Amino acid sequence: MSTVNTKLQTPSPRPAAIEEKTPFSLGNFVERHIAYFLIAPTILGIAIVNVYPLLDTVRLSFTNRLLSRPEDETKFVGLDNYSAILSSPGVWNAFKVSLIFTVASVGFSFIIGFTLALLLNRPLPGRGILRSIFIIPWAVPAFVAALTWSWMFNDQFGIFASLLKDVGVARPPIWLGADLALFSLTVVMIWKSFPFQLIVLLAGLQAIPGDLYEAAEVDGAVSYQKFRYITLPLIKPIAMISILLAAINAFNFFTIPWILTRGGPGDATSVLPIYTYTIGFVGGDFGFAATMAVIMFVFILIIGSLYLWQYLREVDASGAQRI
Amino acid sequence: MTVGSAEVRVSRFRLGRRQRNKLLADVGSYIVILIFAVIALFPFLWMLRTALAPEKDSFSLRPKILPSALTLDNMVRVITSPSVPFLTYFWNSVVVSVATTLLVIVVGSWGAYALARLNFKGQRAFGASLLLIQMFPGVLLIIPLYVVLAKLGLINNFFGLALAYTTLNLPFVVWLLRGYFLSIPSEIEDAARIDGCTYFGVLWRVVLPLAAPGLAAVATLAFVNSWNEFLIAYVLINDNDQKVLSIGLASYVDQFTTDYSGLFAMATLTTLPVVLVFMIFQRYLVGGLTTGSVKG
Repeated sequence: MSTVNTKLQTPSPRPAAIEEKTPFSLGNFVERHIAYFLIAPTILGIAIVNVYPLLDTVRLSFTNRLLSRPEDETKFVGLDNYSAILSSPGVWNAFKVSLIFTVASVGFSFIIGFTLALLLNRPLPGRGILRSIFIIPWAVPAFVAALTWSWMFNDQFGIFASLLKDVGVARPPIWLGADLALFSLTVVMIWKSFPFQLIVLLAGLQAIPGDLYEAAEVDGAVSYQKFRYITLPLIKPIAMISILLAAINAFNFFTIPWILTRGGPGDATSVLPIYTYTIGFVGGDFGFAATMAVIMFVFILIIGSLYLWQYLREVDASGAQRI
Repeated sequence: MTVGSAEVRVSRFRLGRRQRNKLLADVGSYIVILIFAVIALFPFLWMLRTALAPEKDSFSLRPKILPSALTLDNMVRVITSPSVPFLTYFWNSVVVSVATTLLVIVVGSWGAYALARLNFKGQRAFGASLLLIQMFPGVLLIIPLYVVLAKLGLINNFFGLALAYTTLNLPFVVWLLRGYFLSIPSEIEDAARIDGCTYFGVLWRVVLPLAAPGLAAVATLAFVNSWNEFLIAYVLINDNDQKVLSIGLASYVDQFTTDYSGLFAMATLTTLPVVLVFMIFQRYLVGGLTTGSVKG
């Protein structure tokens, strides 16, 4: 009994001896803490470009900071900005417009992307060229896309108006007018974002092992059954993630609405990023704009987390591999 | 004998019907695909057409699909114009995008290697926070980012822009490369370690060469994202000589509201490099996206 105790208490001499004998060198130090050296630049960049601005935005949201008011004259105003948001009709309108824009553009770009992915997943001749064509809207810079569409929508010199006149429409619609602006903006966003869905879903479809379909055919399954019981369940995890990414992107998207309509006419296309930017940099009210930004972030965070939670639950339940 | 031939006839008939069905399905697929291909291409082609048509076409009240003639006049005009520093914008975009791409590859591969292969305290938190950061709205960042970069003297400065772009690309890039590294068998790295190679040595000489397709995907995305970014450049760069293409073109619209030919000549010259990069690297892009997302 006592021998066991002494053995336990006497430390093994070897590791300590090695540690003492090895002289300190920078190379050794780096090797031992290599992981922290490798992630340090990422952490530093994120601290400057993401974390500090996030914390500072939260702080600003409790102040009456204006673009024109220096920092030292800025006062802490508690929850004033937050209560102002609840009673501001502009904010509610921006929320409504943003939700319509996000849901419609993500929904339609997913339907188009998935349909094309299913069609292109068959051994059609010319598939490579077609895939290159469909990648173009994704590759074209958003600001160029917005400029081009706004030129096509132009009611004097635009090609859409001219083509409609060619087929006998005497008074073509004003695409960027109050009635149609949100519709037109959504069309541009669908055009810009369906290639991402197409490429991701096509890659997902191609990763489904072919022998699953062969086995189903041996068992006498028809096309609909193969789609319903093989394709859909196996594509679902990738589809859910690509929908989430597209939704976050659309909800935060600034460039196309800004160049196409600047939120107008009136507030017809005033999505949240445009509304927030206008309040902050045009209206000069940094405090209120910061509050808007915080609310947007919390909103995305809640919806995104619920969605991810649901996703993980379903993936775990189905026993499929997580991505 | 007769029974046998009847069976053959039946199976031939079935085969014929299946082939006919397949043919019908192929034709139907092609029609749907071609309709969407036209929709996907049309704005791009309309940009090219406006750039390559004579200036008077842009003022036609009844524009036609085909231009009245083809000319490079608009391109030459915007490149040589003394009032619009198009070549300066272009060069600035090249510098910022190339710098961002290089930084993203170096820093991103370090972070991804640590996440994929090493064990350290806070590893899960590091990985999770990268995912969380993806959700940050751009407008959430710009006000304080403007303030902090002004304090560091990085407004109207390429380095500030490249720093912001690098960091905005990192979360996605680290996750994508992590998946890629996990798909490489770790035995080779272990062997190199046993032979006395340092971690940096393993990363540079063993891991990165094996992950070349993943790096190509990441580099393409980082380059195109930087080239196409608008909001941050819009807020951080005011000096006309420091402008990149995105905000240069946007300010051209405000300045010369009616010169559509010149505008789309510049837009074409801006778009062709990224579309080419996408076309050349799309194989890696698709491969990189799938390997990166399926593993782990």
